[in-house]
Amino acid sequence: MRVVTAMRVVAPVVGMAVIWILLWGNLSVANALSGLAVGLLVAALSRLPHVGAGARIRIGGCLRLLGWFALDMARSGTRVAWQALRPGPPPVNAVIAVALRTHSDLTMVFTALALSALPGSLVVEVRRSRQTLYVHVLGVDEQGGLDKARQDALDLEKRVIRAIGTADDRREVL
Amino acid sequence: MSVALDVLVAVVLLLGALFSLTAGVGLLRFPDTLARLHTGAKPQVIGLMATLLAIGLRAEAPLNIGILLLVATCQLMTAPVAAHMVGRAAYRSGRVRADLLIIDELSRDLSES
Repeated sequence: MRVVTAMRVVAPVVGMAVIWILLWGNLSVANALSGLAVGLLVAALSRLPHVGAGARIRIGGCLRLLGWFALDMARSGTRVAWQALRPGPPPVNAVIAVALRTHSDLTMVFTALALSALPGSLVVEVRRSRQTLYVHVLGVDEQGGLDKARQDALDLEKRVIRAIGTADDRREVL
Repeated sequence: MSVALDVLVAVVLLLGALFSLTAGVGLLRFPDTLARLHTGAKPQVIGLMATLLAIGLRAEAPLNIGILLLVATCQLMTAPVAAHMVGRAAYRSGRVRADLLIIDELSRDLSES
């Protein structure tokens, strides 16, 4: 438990120090030290609630999620580009409710982020108490219908759980 | 070798520019805010990614690639949030063309509660 608590404090500080070094553009002792100092200051001044309770990061799942994300970005990006360029009336859309199965805030946030980042779907509302995302789907028919769109969102949730899901997530969904 | 790299960089750059162009066309052609967000927030991100990739292929120092990754990550984390907030505000203020939606489960659930 001690180790986990220490990680919670150390990981964000190190992360901020890395960003600091990247922003300066060169790796030096002075940059590393000032980066750590800034990281500690920010961490001390803004104590954010811990959202990742129980999340377990799996490298394999993360890589698969990233690879799938890049592929789907290209695929649905091309589709949306065509929907914008093609002649004729605008696409027919829908707002669907997708009830996620996870109870983890972090899984829900990442699923919503990925859905909103991918062309063709946009999260317009989130209901945390019922783990429901309301997704605006662009061109329902081009995406294979309402059920397909719903299933795609749930599949995405599964991919996120394989990458960063909690033990509960994995028991319930996988 | 460097000619092949130049051609690759040019192709990636043009591809990025093309996606950014479709984002602009979509903004003009799509009828309501929610549909416009799909092109404003997404092909534009792909355009940026392609541009960053092209720069990365030509980058000399590894730390420059680090900055590009930082830009890409920040864009991927913030663009969806911005799109969500605009979409949510548009929906809540009634700026949604209901006639363009074949089903709207949010207004159904909102009227229930």
